[in-house]
Formats: sequence, C-alpha cells, structure tokens
Amino acid sequence: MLAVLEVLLEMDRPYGLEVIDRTGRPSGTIYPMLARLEGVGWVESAWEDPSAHEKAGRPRRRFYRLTPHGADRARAALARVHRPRTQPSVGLRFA
Amino acid sequence: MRLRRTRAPALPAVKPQQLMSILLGRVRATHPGVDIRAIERAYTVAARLHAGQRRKNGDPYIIHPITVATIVAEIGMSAETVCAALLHATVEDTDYSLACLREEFGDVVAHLVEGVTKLDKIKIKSGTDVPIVTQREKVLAIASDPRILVLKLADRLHNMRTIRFLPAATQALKARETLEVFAPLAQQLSIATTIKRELEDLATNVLYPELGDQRHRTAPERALAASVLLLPSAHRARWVEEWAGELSVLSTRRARARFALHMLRGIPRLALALRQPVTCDAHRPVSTIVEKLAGVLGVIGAFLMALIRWELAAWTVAAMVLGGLVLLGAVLFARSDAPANRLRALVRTWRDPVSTARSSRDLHDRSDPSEPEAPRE
Repeated sequence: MLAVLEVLLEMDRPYGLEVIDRTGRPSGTIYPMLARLEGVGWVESAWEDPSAHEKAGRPRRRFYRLTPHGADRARAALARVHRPRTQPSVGLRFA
Repeated sequence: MRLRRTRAPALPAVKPQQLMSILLGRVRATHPGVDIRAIERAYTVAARLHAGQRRKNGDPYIIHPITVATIVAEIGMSAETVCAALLHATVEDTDYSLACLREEFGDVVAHLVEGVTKLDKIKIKSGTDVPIVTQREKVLAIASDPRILVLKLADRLHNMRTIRFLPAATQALKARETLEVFAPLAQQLSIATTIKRELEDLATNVLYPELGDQRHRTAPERALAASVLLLPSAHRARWVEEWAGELSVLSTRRARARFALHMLRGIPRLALALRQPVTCDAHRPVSTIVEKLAGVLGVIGAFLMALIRWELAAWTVAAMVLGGLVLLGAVLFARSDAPANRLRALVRTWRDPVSTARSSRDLHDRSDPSEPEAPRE
C-alpha cells in the first residue's frame, strides 16, 4: 500500500500499468488497492483524453491521482513509517 | 422472467392502434376493472401532438410513448403512470404546456410528466471526471417519486432496444450511461429488476459486441472478460475497458499473459474492495435502508437485510447454514433412533398438546417408563 502511495505522490497521473511497473507488484495486487483507495476518497481516477487513444487506435486508459485529502494522508502515512529509520523530525514531511 | 417485448417498432406494418390494443390488454390484465378511458384520452392527445414527428428509424414518434407505456403496464404500474408514459414527451417535444396537461389529466399525471421532463434535462456525463455516484444522486434527487424513475427506466429501455439507429459514438455514450447510472438505479426498484437485466444486456452488446463473439479475442482478454462477472455489475464495464487499454500497450504476449494471470488471482480481492460499503456506491442507498431496519428489527434484521441485498454473501451463508444442518442431521439421526423418536414426540406435543399430555399421562399411569410416549403404529 505504501509503495503505491509513494508512486502516486511521485508520478503525475500514472496509469495502472505504470504503478505496477514502478512498484514491481502484480496487477492482481495493485488494482484492488487502487479501487480501495478510490473508495475511501484518497485517490481519484479518470479516462485519458480521447485525442490520445483515438489517434493511437487503441482502447482508452484510465489514470489515477491522489486527491488533496489523499495526498495529505499519504504523506503523513509515509512520514510515520520512515520516521524511526531517520531523524524523527518534521523535516521528513514531503514538500 | 424477461419482459415480453412489445412488437418491434422497426416493422413498418405495425400500426399505433395495434400497439394501443396490446397496451390496453396489458392494463386490463394487471388491473382488471380499471377505467381505461383516461388512457385512451392520453393516447389521443399524445398522437395529435406528436403527429408528423418521426423516430430515427422512420417510425411515427407515437410508437415510442405507446411502447414505454406498455413496458410500464407490464410491471403492473397504475393507470395514472401509464397515462404519464403516453404523455411523457409531450411537454418537452411539443408546444403542450404542463398547465394544460394538469388541467386535462390531473395533478398526479402532471407531476409524473414534469419529473420525467426534468430528468431529461440533466446532463449525465458518463466516463468523465464527475463521479458516477454523484450522477446517480442527481437522478435520484429529481426522481424522488419511484414512479418517475420507473418511467425514465422504461423510456431508456425502449431507446436502448432501438439504439442501432443512432450514430456509433452516441450509441457508446448512451450504453455507458445505461450501465453506469440507470441499470444500478433500476436495481433499487424491486419491480424493475427485469428492466435492469435487459438494460444491462443491451448496453453490454453495444459496448462489447465481441463479448458475444469470443473467436477474435486473445486468451488473456477472454479470461478477463469472463472473470469480471465476479465484480458488481455496475463496475464491470469500467474494468473491462481499463484492462483492455492496458493490454493494448503491452508489447509481448508473455507480458499480456502475466498481466491477465495476476489479475485473475486478484479479482476476488477487487470484488471485495468494490463491494465494501464505503467503496460500493451502488449499495449506498441500501445501507441507509439497513440502518433504518436495524432501528426497527435490531441487529438480526439488519444483518438479514444486508445478506438479502448482497446476493453473493447471502448465497455463501445460506450454503454454510444448509451444510451445517445436513451435518447436524447426519450426526443426530444416523447413529440411533432415539433422537428421531424424541423429535416425533416433540412434534406431536406441539401439534396436539392436550391429547399428547393425556396419552403420556396414560403411559405414566401404566408405569412403563421404558416404552416411548408415542404409541406404536
């Protein structure tokens, strides 16, 4: 879950496949996780712009991004996990 | 049971009068003794107002309201709702005013037509950033009267039956709307379950014609298309489309196979994630019903209700309970006759307490405790 949050914080609107590649986790793990995050309102998803996929002649893809609330919660969660390993300070919070 | 299809409006031979007699037959069948004069009057007014208008397939427009009214009559709605179905497009598509309609047909019919007209005006943006649940709520806010929702669903059903006459892009848009917004709403009305099933079938045929013809699909696509059946119906279209998009950018067959294989393993988890109350927006109104029931019947009532509405869990629990009963029966009755005799005595006592008490007293008087209470036959 944390790896997924990390990827969503780092990347700009990744597709499911990109989250899978970056985290190295299988699709069967990533999609249920994204669905759950979407369900609790941390993540939102939308279809890509029609011009992109129509030009390429393929089905449209769906991208994901953190909601403002989700981004806050994700940063807090990651900070909590990383804190014991490094200095326990607020400086750890992502910009 | 599927709804009986009203005669295909595409056939030029079918006359509005013939469809009307079918409609009146259905109304008489579901509401014997009902006064059909209002329905006939509604037909006359609608036919006059829509005169000269045509459907995309070239049919006289009036065929549409009659078919919608027939769908509504088939699920047993009242004569007023049938009238509203016949008049549902008059205020929007002709110069007939709501005030005139109210004067001629009364407040109830006017209220229903007004609701359908308002529903037609809201823009449903399927496949956009606007969450599906918000769009469903928008519809529900207007269709506070379930009869309005039934009318809208029947209208959509006939439009979906004749969708092949629309441009391909419009077909896809309407089909997606139907799957994401209207079919889940139909599920909430228990009388509209047949409508829901047909809406889903028609919309799926438009969006995924290849689902019917599996020959041209690769193995991963076939496997994923089959496995989405485990997901709640409102979510299936989205995931099939999303995975088709991802599979299309994977370059090697091996990568596609791996994606599909891992996904197959994850589908039960995805189904669970989507069915959880917080995630499954389709069930949100149900959870409020469950809460209300919990107040009335207590925890057990709410639990039962939740199980009934959530078929998968209900079947699982029912199977477990049934299996448990079979096991219990086997353990109790297979080893000796004593439990069976005891059960028989209990049933007798329950059915006829007086004579059983007498017979057991007689037995007791005979002071023969080794003999069972029930007399041998």
